[in-house]
Amino acid sequence: MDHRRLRMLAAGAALGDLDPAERVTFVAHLMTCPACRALKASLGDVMADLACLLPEVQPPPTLRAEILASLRPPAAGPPRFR
Amino acid sequence: MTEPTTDDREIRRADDAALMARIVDRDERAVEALYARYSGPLYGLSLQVTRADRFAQDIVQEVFTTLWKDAGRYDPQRGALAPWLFTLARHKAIDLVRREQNIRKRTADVDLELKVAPDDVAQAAWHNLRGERVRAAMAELTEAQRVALDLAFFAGLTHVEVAERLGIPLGTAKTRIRSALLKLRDHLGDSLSEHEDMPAETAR
Repeated sequence: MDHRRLRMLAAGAALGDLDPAERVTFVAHLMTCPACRALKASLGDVMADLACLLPEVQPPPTLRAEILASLRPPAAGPPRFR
Repeated sequence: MTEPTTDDREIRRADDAALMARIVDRDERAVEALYARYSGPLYGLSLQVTRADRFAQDIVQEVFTTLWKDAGRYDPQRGALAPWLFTLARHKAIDLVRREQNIRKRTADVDLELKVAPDDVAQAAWHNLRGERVRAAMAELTEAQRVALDLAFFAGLTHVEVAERLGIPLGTAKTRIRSALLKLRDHLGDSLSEHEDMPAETAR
């Protein structure tokens, strides 16, 4: 497949905008091509760099506690009734 | 709460890959460390795309839940953690917006002068350094590419919406956005092998 098209597919993969046919093509190609794997990874890094331009906003302090609590399986305590 | 131990200090300084390994071993403190590092940018990104506080919180929560559940699937050999997290958040945000088309009014103009407001000096330095490099690379894009990328990335429009907004076919919109990303990468100068000499641009 021509390289220009592969570059575009790698960009589509990093952006998450591949259509189903493109995805099948590109995933199959990735298996055999370390260069495209590296390209896709470096495009992912650029996406992260772009995110550096976004405003960093601290979420409300309650979110941290909520997230940490959600990681734990519900404690085995007295049976709960609904 | 217990006193901070040497181990706690180690965790705060550990790199992302080491923290992910701890998460595989079910160490919640590693999640806390990654939360301290990434919740601000992730929340900022989610807010930017969804424009709704409640949705942005849901997205950040989902990202960390996924991180906890699927830590074993993260392979540091295949790339840094930050892009993985940001991509995850962005996809979740776009999905959410698609489902809730009416949660926001799409503004006619995208604010191109996005300001970074980090709360921590080291984080700020890191942000500024990378932000500067990216801004310089953005200047190398064609106007058409930059506008398309702004709409897709910073305003969080779907590619269909970008095409509609610009009055161009979907294929053209996708090509512009993808070319913009490729060109940024080429200008950010990460050296890569065989594909390096290929043209970044394609028209069609």
